[in-house]
Amino acid sequence: MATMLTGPRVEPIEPFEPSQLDTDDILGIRAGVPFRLELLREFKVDTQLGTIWLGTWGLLSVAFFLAGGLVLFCAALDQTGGNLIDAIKYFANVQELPPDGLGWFHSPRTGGYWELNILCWAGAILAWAGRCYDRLRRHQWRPYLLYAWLAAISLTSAIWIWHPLLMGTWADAPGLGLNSDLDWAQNFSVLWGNFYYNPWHQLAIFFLFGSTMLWGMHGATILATGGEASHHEDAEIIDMHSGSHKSMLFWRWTMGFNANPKTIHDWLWWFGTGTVLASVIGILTTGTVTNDWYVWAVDHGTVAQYGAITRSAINQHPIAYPAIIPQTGEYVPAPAR
Amino acid sequence: MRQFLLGAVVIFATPLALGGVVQPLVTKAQAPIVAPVDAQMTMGRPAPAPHQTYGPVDQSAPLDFSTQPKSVPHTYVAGQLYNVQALKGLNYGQVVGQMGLYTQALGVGCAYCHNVQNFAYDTPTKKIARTMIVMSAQVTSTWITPVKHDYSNYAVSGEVGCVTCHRGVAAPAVVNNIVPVQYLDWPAKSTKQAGYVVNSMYAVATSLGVNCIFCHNSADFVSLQYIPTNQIAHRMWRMVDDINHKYLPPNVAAVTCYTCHNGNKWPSALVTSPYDQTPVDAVAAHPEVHLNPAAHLAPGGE
Repeated sequence: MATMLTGPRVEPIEPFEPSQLDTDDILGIRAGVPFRLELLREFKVDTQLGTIWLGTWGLLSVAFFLAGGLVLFCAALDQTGGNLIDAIKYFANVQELPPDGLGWFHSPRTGGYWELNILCWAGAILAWAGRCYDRLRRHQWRPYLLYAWLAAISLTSAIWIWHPLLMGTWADAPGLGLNSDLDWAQNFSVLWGNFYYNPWHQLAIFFLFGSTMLWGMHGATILATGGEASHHEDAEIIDMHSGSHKSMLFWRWTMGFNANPKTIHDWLWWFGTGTVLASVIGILTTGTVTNDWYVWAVDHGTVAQYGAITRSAINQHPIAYPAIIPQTGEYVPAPAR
Repeated sequence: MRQFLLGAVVIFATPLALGGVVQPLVTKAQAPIVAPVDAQMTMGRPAPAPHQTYGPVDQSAPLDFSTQPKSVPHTYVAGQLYNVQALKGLNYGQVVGQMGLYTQALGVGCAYCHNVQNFAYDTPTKKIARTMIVMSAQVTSTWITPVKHDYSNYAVSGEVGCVTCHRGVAAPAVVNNIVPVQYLDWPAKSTKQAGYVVNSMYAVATSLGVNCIFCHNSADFVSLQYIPTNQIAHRMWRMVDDINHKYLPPNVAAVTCYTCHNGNKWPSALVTSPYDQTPVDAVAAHPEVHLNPAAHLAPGGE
C-alpha cells in the first residue's frame, strides 16, 4: 500500500554543484535581516521573520504579480471614471471581463484588461513553478512540491485556458477581480445545469472535505500527544510507547486502521492533488460530454426528475424565447445567434 | 488571557476595517454606478459620463430666437399660453398646476427648465421635460394600463407620475443596469453572457425586494409561460427598454427596475390623487412631440 501511494524509492535528481549554485543565479541571495515579531508569540507560533532567498525566478514571479495588480487597479480607475476614491472603495466590484471569441489584442474595455492580466497571471505562476523546481534541485529533494503546484496550475489553466478553448470563446473564462471569479462560479454552474450534479464535482468535494478531515485528524493527534513529545517524530517512529507510537495505536484501536507519521502525509498529499485533478476532469467534461449536468444526472439515474425538463426540451425548445405573450398574442422572436 | 483579547480584537477589527472596502452583497445592486465594461450592460446606449447632470438654465445667456419655434414670441401677454406642445389639451390654470407638480416632484424651481425672461423659450432642460411628460403619458397608456387590466388581481391603485421615478430629486436613483430583454435568451452563449442574465436577475430581485420564486418555478426555472408575475416582469422589462431607447436623453444613466420600485414589489411613490396625475389623454394624443433623443443636443438655443 505504501509503495502504491508514494511510488518506488527513486534516486534524487542530479543536484547542482553547491559552489555553482550561489554564483549562477545573480539574484540568488538570502536577503533581509532576521528579526522576531513578538506579536506572534501570543498565538503560540514561531516568531522569526526572514531571511528569504530571492532568486531570479522568485523575483520574476513577484514582478508579474505586481504588474497584474497594477493592471487590475488601472481597470478599477477606468471603471470608476478615474475617481481614485471610488476605485479603492469599490475595488471588490471591479471586473475585467474576457473578450468574446478567441482573438487577442482587444481594446482594454472589450477584454484587453483581461488579456493583459491573464498574461501576468501565467507569468507569475509559471515563474513560481520555476522557483519551486530551482529550490527542490538545490536541496536534492523529491519533486512533490513541484507536482502539487503543477496540479494547481492544471486546474486554473483548465478553467481559464483549456475549457474556453474547447468552447471556442474566452467569454467562458472567469473575469478577473475579487467578486468576478466568484460570480463566474455561480454563472458557470447555472449555465451548465447545476454543478452539484457533476460527478467530478462531487468527487472533488469528497477530496476537499476529506482533506479538511485528514488535516483535522492529523493536527489534533499531534497536538494531543504533544505532552508525550510526539513532535520528535524522527526518534519516536522507531520507539515503542512514544507519543507517535501511541497516536498510531489510538487510531488503530479507534477505527481499525492507522497511518504512520510518514503515510499520513501521503494521504494528505493525494487528497490535496485529487481535489484539483478531479476538478480538472469536471471542468473539461462540461460542455463537451454534456451541456446540462442535471439532465446528465437524470439520464444516468443519479437524481430524480422534477418538472417537465428533458434533454430534448433543453436542446430543441428554448422555452424563454421565442415567446408568445398570451394576452396580446404578440410574438417575441429569439435573437439571431 | 492576552491572546484571547488579541484574537477578539483581530476578529472584530478586521471586518470593521474591511467593511468600508468590501461592498456587502445585499446592497451590491444599489452601489453607485461603475461604468460598464461591455456595451451590452449599457442597454445599448452610450456609457454615461460620470457626474453629468442637466442643471438649471443659465439665465445670463443671451436669447437666440432664430433657433426657436415660431410659437415663441419676443413678448407675450400675461395669462395667454405660448409654445405649448405636450400639454395641449389643458387650459392656463391646469398647465400652471402641472408645473407646480413638476417642481415638487423634482425638487427644483421654475428656472431649472424655464428662462425666466421668456417662459415660452425652449431650453435644453425644457425640451427634456417635454419629452418626459410625453413619456409618462405614453408609458402609462402603452404598458401600465394594459398590465393592470390583464393582471387585475396584482394591480394597485395609483398612477405613474413624475414623482414615481424622481422622488424629489432632479436625477433619479441610479443602480446597476439590467440587460436589454433580448439578452435574456437561455441557455446563454457563454458564461459571461450567463453572468449578464444572472446579474440582471439579482438586480430585479433586489429592486423589488423579492427572491427568485416570486417569478420563477423553483422546480423548473426556465419554463416561464404560465406564471403571472413572470409575464408581468417580462412586459415591465420591455417597458424599461422602451423608456431607455425611446425617451431618455442620451448620455444619462439608464432606467432600471429600481428607479420606480425602490426596493418594493409595487412602486411606492405612485400618484393617487387625480389632481396630481399626468393628463394622459391630453398628452398622449399628440405624438408629434419630438421623441428623438438626439434632438436634445441640437445646436442653437442651448
